[in-house]
Amino acid sequence: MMIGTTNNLKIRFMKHIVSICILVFLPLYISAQFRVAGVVTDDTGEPLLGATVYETGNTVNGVITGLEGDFVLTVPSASSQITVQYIGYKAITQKVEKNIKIVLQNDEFMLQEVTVLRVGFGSKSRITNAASISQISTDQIRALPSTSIQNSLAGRLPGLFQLQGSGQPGKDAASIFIRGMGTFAEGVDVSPLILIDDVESDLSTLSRLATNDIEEISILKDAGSTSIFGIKGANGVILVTTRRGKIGKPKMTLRTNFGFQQPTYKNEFLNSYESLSLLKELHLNNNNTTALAQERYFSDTALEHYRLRDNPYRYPDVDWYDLLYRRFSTMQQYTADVQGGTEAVKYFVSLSYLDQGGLFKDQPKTEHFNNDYYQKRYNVRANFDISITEDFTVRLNANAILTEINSPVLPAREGSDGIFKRILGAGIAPYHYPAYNPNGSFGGYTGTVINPLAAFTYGGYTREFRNNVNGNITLDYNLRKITQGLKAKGVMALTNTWGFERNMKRTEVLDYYYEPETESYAPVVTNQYILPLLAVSNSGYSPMVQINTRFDVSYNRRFDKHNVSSLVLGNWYSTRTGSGNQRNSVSYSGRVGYDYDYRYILELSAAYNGSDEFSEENRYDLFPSITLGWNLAQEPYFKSIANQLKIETLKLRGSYGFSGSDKISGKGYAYQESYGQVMDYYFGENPTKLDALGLMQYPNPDMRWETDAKADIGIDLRMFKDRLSISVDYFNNKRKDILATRAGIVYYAGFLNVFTNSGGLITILPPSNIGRTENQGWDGEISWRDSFSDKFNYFVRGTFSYAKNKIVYMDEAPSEYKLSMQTGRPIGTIFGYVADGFYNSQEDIDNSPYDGLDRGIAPGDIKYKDISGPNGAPDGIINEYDRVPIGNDLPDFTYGISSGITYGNFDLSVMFQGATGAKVSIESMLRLASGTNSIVGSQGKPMPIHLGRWTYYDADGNYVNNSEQLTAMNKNASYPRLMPGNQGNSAQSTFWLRSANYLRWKNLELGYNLPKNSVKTIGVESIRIYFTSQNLYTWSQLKDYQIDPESSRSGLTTYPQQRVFNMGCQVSF
Amino acid sequence: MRNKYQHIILLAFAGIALLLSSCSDFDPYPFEYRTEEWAINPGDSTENSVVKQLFYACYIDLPLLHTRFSSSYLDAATDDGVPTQTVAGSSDLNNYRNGLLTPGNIANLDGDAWKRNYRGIRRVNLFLDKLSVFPPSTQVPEARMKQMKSEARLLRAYYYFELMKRWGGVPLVGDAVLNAEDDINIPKSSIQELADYIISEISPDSNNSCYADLHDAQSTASYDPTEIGHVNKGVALALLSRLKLYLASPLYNPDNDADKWEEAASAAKKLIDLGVYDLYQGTQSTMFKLFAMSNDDFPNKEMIMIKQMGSNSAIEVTNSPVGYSYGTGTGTLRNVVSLGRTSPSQNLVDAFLTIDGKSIYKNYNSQEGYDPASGYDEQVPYKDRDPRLARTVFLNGSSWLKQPVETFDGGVNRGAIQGITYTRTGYYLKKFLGNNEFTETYNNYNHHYQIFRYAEILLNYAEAMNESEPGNDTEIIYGLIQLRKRAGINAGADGRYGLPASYSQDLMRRIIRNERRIEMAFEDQRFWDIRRWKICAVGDGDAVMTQPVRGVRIKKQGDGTFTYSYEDVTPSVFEKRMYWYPIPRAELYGNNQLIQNDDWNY
Repeated sequence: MMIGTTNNLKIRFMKHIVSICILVFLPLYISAQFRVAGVVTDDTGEPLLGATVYETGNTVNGVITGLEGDFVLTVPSASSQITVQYIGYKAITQKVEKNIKIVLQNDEFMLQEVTVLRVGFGSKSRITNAASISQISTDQIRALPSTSIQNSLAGRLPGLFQLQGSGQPGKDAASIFIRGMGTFAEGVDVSPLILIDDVESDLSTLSRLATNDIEEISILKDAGSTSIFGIKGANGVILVTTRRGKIGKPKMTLRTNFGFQQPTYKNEFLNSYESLSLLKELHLNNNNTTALAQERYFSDTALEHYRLRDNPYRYPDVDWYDLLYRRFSTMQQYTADVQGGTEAVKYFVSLSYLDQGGLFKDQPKTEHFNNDYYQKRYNVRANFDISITEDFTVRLNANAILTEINSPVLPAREGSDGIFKRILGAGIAPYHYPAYNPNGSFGGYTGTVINPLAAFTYGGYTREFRNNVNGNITLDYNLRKITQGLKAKGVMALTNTWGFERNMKRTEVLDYYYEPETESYAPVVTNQYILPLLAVSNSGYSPMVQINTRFDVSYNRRFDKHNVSSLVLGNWYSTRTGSGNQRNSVSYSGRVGYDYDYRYILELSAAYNGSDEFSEENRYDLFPSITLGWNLAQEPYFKSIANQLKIETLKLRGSYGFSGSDKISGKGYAYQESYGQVMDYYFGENPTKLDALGLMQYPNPDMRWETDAKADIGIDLRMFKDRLSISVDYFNNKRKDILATRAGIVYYAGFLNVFTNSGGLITILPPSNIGRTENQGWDGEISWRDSFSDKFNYFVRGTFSYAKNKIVYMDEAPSEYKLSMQTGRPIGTIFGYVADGFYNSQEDIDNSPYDGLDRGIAPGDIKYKDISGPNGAPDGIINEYDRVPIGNDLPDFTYGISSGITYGNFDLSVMFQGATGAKVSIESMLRLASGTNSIVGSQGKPMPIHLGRWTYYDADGNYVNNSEQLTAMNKNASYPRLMPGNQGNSAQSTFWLRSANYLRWKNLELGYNLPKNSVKTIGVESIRIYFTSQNLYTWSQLKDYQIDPESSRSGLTTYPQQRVFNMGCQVSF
Repeated sequence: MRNKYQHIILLAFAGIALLLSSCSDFDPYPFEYRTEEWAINPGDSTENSVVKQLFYACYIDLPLLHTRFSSSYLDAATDDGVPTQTVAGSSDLNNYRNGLLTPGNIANLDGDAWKRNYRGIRRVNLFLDKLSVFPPSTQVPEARMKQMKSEARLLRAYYYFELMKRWGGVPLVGDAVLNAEDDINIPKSSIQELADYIISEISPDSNNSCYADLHDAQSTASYDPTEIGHVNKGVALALLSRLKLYLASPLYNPDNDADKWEEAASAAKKLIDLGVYDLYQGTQSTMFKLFAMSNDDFPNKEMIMIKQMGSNSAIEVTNSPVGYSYGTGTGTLRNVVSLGRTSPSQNLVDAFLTIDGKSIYKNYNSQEGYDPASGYDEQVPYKDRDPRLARTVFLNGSSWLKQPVETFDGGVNRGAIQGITYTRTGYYLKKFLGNNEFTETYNNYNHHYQIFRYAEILLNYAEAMNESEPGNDTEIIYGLIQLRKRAGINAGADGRYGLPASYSQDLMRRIIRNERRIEMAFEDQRFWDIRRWKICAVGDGDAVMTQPVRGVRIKKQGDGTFTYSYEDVTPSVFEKRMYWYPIPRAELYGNNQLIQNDDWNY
């Protein structure tokens, strides 16, 4: 269809040009009047469509510029003057010429007046805004090869912290928090409130939205902007606005992306010989003669063969990663959208398809199923604006997201560990068995993990289907007939999410142990010669329906120098699921704003909220806020100074107010008492279990939401014709009523937690609103944009966010270990011992503080510092008193730097993003041989890092027992003596903590716009070819451990983060 | 203007539609929650009705014997044994011996004793409170209600006793169902106040006690089989006997008030005089049925109060010697491995009598050295010993799962494989286990916890009589003779089962304490006995908790014989403050009236 119309389009286009030519030139020869033909452009040379051109002093004689900024106007004489006006630009009046080129200059003030910031349930001009809001237009990030929009936001929006834990297709969405962490309530979702087109949504929906459908993303940070959301605004708000049609002819844009992905880190482990030598040393250290008696691994002969690699079936050295991982996996993305409109109907319609592949090689197999990881996603959106009458508009948004996420299933022979824990963690070592036996069957060995090649060939898949359908209808009524500026709006939004899971599994796979001496084969699972059939099963997710209705009335009007704006609204929100609780909330809120001559800004807002999470008496509360702003640059007395300093904007602003968080963990309805079956008791000669009934939830009728008192002071500065722009905010949030367990409720009241008869532990005491925190920090952005010539533009932009929190009160029972108390310390504080090198000899142990931890220390173990004792002073004993705060597991500073240049049709931009302040423990992923048969562990496998261990053996492998020699030999040791599971050294200590600071080269975009003239000849408006990339390079200390700093919390157990190289093309008609 | 009306109509429609669609009210509360209204609904008429379920919940918090301490036993924190696992944290019990008990960690030790008993008390109070709203029905007639109420009160008294023996004085909450918002700043009651409360609640001699409405003490003839496991009059008397014995003991009775011993003696006598209880009589191969029961083994006449358990082999797995395993499946995880979590001490083994009822030590006192007259030989240590020894611990050479027990160095059950934690003393605990000497796998048994059994009452009586009426030989040895006879000790020519014909009060005290130690080994008695006798710390009696726990090293010789040597396994630490537990720190934080026990304030 598209190909068919291209020619038609071309023909029509040519006709259009011809008719313009006729219009321009023909009248010159006919009329005595003076005809002006011209083009209106902005200062970069871009034609301005829709500018008004009229004869000066005679506004009736005017025209509007066309697509190319072109106009033709007939004026009475050659000495007449014309005026050109365009919104956001300074108007120009000048004398006519036959062919005139008019260049309009930006009007910074006007631009600010029209630059719209999204605020809760409305929008506002930038100049009259005094709240703390960051906003980006997504056209900057639309071409990036990121499948979840939130993964592109880091470093671009000041105030936003994010952590992307995994790279798994379909499950790689980052968790987000705004301005750091404000609550320590356990198990509570701290993500911000997310609204898509003013309708409450959630993080998982956001992560599946098509980037192409999004116009803008704003984050609301302070009380001035969040208090209108009342009970839900305390963790910040993310507003997502989708694209809408604009008046004009249909414009179609097609975009294709094709990319390659690879893990950000390649995992490299030691080969068989190195691994086994280290394991042998470990078992010698542990005096485990049984383990050492395993000749196939530890005899001198075996080790020699492993070293020489001369008998790959008996003494294998398999590089499993090479066999399992693709060099690259692919990612494809196609989007098509059409937008346009008339006065009556405006539309934006789009379709996106995403196909993201996984990183496992497709093993040759007879059954043709795909059990690699992948994600396929379809997004359809249709946004319509229909004007029923001049004043009555109906907006329709319809959106459907269908996601299919695939992941491999492994037979449960060796437990339930996921594939990455098995491959990257302990499971599969290079020395266990060959990948393939000589006869082509899969290698294997009893007592080791399943051959992953066999698992990927025979194993099945889990395929998740998640669907999300959402429809909004908005009735927008302009009541200017009553009074100018009065509008009423009603919204009803319906969302349905559901899904199911299809499983294709088999219980067992086939792998054989091959004995080279006898050339015999034995199946690893006794008598398992036949492959069990794949069995299909399915399960469903509980569907959820969400209904949101809203009604609001707004009034915005400027009376000369006085501007008033106001909004009142009622918002009803409810979700229902098949099982589980339904949640309802109601909000009545409003705001009143006033500014005088753009100079003095005042805004009051308030929300009166209720949620059925809380008892009737505690259901509603008021969340007010006040915002003040002062546009210094607009002051008449400041104007001259401002002009001298080339300051266009200088605004001081501040806000104070409250917002709440109604998120509570656990069962919900904590104000309700609940009885249930507790552990049964036996009675009778024939002991019979009889049901016993006990308290399952002790009610807390006083339970309320958390309340955040937010103070914010900010400054906005724009200078040098808008080249320099700075915006900085300081905030200080005080959160109270955090839901925390009360230590002050004594157990003799009888509230011990109970076990249910199904064995689960139920906490019967609900949390109480007692916790308090303080969270303060800075965030801001600074940017500079300029051009060397009209062809050569560039910009540099930096954002930063800093947030430091402190637990002010948490009802913590005083501990005798004073240094390990959390009150007064930041949320997420890590407590542990302070490492002080290694014990290098027995004398060293004897001369060091006594080991009160009873860990059985020997030379080569980590020495801890004696920091405190019962009396607060070092007591010569290492014990719990010496556990101190040694770090924090969340970053407190995050930043982004982006820069770009445009040269003619070329453009290039880069983006760097980093975070500092977090620490991560690497201990568990480095644990060796903690399994029962001592040759595989449940955690880690030998890595290069283990080569630097503290050792009793000199270079020739001789056991050393001389203190001085040991000390000298191990002076550069970087790892304690090898013991199973880091036995004796596994306690949290500074030794294992590493900085999770990182700096990422997050994005690169290199684009080329084909010259307009040349593409026009083929009937196309524009063609852009680009190369984009994500996660190009990461600077991080954790590189040595082969883990990504953002996913380091989960160690080697998750899908690695991906680096993406992407080629794309965008064509607009 | 037509247009204007059009506007108004549209607006009105839109507004009304929106308001109607959104004004629905909240559900008042989650309907799926069972609230108190439901819990006390008297309309319920099923057999297992709500009120009964509330009642059964009163029983749940009775203590667990076998699983309270990382699958070991409280007595492994005495001179009777050690937990097999050594590393701190791997066994809670190490905290007791090493002096690592603190107000910070006590809350989660000993089966959450503080929290658990108070939870039991609240459950009883809640039940008593709710019971008042139930009218009698055919399912729960008035007599039944009275009986349930009495049982609950007796259980509550028992929970208080459990608290008292650990902490001494504790807050007494009476009938109050404490709520979170109540004033919980309740001061400690003294031990005497607690004891008075318990006695007033359960004693047959006090008015309004629960005693009258309880079932009769168990006699198998007249008993409803479904009522087995319920507490009854016998339990009330047994609790009184134990309570009064404790109150008379040195820790509780520093002035050695002889009246208290008399009371203790008469309390025990009352129960003996009921005449419904007797010692279970079994042979060496069937005596295990006292602890590992099948349905037809029980009830027996010895049991007074039990906490009933389901039928399984979990206790066999946790206690059988490390090195025994069996399997039915394939793959590496097929084996059910025996864990041998408790290592009984040489000290305990030495306390067992000879077959003739003599101590291997002079005057039953290990500090006086071996008594040559006992015929004991260190190199043939298990020959001609009290048959209870072989029933209590695994001895080298006995049979288990059809294989000989090898606790000699390098044997299957000690040191055969490096890197595995075997017994620390050379012994494993055999008491409580079913008969698996000649089976392939562990059989399932009901390991009911005998909270009170008749043997204890006999010992209580002997102890109290020796203190209150020294020299009243008939009454003092009344129980000892029965116990020794049942154990399989030779009666001897004088028919005194090895008991000396003449003795000082002090010697008899040692004999009775020794008898109690070996008869009740690992039954949650010795830990409390050595405290109430006040013989733990330096300067207190034998100061048993300051002496090392000992073990045996058995070496197999080339000719298949064994040599025995004895070694110290672990030192013990005991400070005077440890006679009582510290009150959990968080409780002091939440109750400003509570005062920490002496010397625990740090």
